[in-house]
Order: sequence, then C-alpha cells, then structure tokens
Amino acid sequence: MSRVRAGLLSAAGLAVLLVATGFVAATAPREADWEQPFAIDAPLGEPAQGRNIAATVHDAAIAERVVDRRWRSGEGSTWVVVDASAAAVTSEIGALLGHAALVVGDRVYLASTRPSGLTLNGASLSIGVPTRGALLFELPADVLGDPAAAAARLELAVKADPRLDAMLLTPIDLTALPVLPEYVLDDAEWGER
Amino acid sequence: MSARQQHGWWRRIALALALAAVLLAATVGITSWKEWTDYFGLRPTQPIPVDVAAEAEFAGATWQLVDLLAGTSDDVASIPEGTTMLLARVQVTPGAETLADGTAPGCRIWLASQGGAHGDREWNTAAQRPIGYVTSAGYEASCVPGATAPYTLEVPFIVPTEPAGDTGALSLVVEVPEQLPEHLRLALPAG
Repeated sequence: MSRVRAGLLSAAGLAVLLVATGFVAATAPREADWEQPFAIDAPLGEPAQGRNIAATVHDAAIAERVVDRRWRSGEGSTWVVVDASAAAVTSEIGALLGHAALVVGDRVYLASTRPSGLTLNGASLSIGVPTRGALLFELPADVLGDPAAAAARLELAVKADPRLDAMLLTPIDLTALPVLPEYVLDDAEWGER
Repeated sequence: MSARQQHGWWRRIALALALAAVLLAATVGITSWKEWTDYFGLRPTQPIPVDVAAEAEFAGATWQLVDLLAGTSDDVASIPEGTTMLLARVQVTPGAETLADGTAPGCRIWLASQGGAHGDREWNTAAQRPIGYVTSAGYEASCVPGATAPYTLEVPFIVPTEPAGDTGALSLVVEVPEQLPEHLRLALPAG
C-alpha cells in the first residue's frame, strides 16, 4: 500500500468516526430525558394513581386575593387555587406531597408556602385515606394574557425531586377558570375525599 | 511492520494485557461490592421474622408483641370512614447489660403488609393524626433510649378496612439504626 493511499484511508476513517460521533451526540437521550418522571394523565375531576401517589384534582379557580386566619395576600398577584385530595398507595414512610407545581409555558410556579394555613403542599400522605386541601400558586398579574395560560398543567408528585418517579399531570386552561375576588383558605383535612 | 514482528509484539505484551484485564475486573468488582454493601447495609434488608407473640432477642433487649387491639370506623368514631385502627403493644425488656450501662436501644416502628391484593405496603404510626388518640396510661408512645426498666410500647395505625385476605400478612417492623441491615418483623395475628 502506498503511503498516499494509507493516508487517504486514515483520513476517511477519521471522517467516518467524526460523523458517527456527531450523530450519537446529537441523537442520544440526555440526562434530562432519561431521568424524566413517569407522566400519568390526571384530568380535572378524575382520580389518578401513580407508584405511590393517588390524587384527584377536584376544581380550580383564579383568585385576586387569598386570606386565611392569620395572613392576607397583597395586591398585584394572580392566585391559582386548586382543590385536590391526595393519598399514598404503597408506603407512608417519607410520603409527602413534595412536588406541586403549575407550569405555564416555560415557567414553573411552585405551590406557595406564604399562607399560614395548612395547604395540601407538603402534606404527609396516608394509604387509602386522602388528605383534601388547597394548593395555591402565586402568578404575575398579567399571566392570563400569556397565550400559554390556556394550556397550563399542574404537576403532583411525592418527592420534591420528581425525577424517575410517578408524576400526575392535570391540564388546566387558566383562561377558562372562574375568577373570585377573594379566596378564604381552609386548612387541609385528613380523611376527606 | 511485518506479520512476524506484529506477532512478536503481541506476545511481549500478553502478560501486561492479562494483568490489566485482571486489574480492571478486580476494580469493577471491588467498587461495586463496596457501593452495594453500603447501600444495603444502611437499609432494613435483613429481616428477623418473629412468630406471633413470641419473644425475640434483638439489639440488647427482648421484644414481644403482647397485645393487638383492632376497631373499625363503626366502632371508633374518630377515625375516617372505611378504615380500621390497630393498636399494637410491644413489651420491651432491656437486657441486664444494656440496663447496667444505660444503652437500651432507641428504635423506629412501622407496620408492614406482605403479599396482599395491593402488594407490599408500609404504614407509619397514626399517633399524630387528628383522631383524638392519646397514648394509654402506663404505655410509651416510642422507644426509650437508655431505658432503666422494662416498658411497653403502644403504637396506633390506621389501615383501610378490607376483605380478609386482601391485606396480606401483617407484621410490626422494629428498626434499630445501629443494627441495620438487620431488623425485627413481629408477626401480627391474621384477621
């Protein structure tokens, strides 16, 4: 084999390897893909169940203000109020409603911890005995003008880091929700379905 | 390089290659063994089964299920409808050695079911739930580390009321952190 031919072959081999590397790098699933939660549809009003979470999202509304016994929200926010119940399925050990988020387009809003009353956010879950309460999301006042508001989704999962575990997904059209001037928060109740 | 030279080169590095292969296998093996041993060693993976009401020596104490009371929501008004309250009582007798040096063990207790219609399940104590439950006089709500005398634990659980057989075999799990991965499984009477 001449030296020129050997060089050409080596260059061609290298080029093939580079193309293959680029193809693999471009098409292989990334960490964010293969660590995704196991999504389970949970339409509004219907019970849904994942590995260790069973929940029903009963209703949702928009409120201009939220009050409880010791706290009152300020002006300038839009509150999305979700009425839901949640229970554990297989284990109560470490079973909390650790992830409650409302996704509007690219923005993720975690359930508010500002109210002083007991919400469903972070509630410890029992097997077969649901806890029912509110989840409150504080959004910018102009969120309803966002085109993505019509296709928002609620995410519920047991762990605060929901990767590789079941996650219940409830589509919510924020623009179609009733608007309340004020929402009075009642404490979440264990044993309410 | 001629074919003969190439053959000779492989022969010269054969021993080094073999050693590298052995080292690679040993590295993977030892690392995996260490990681998995740590993983399982810190979790309750080695149960010590104990028959109903039998005594068991564990963590420097003797453990025995002495009583199990059960009442459905028809009997106990303060628990949610469709549930059953189980009240388990466990006698804990620290051994002479742990009594002498004040090292009676602390513990964590939960209820487990195995092989039921709903698969294996685990319940936490319901003592903090709003069911109006108060630990009965003369009983302890949780383990007493450094106990100086025998005592009896009383732990309530709320489980769904189910047809007999659906729940599977119930047992009370006693976990002492220093004893992991070993833990006790005190069998509860069926039904």
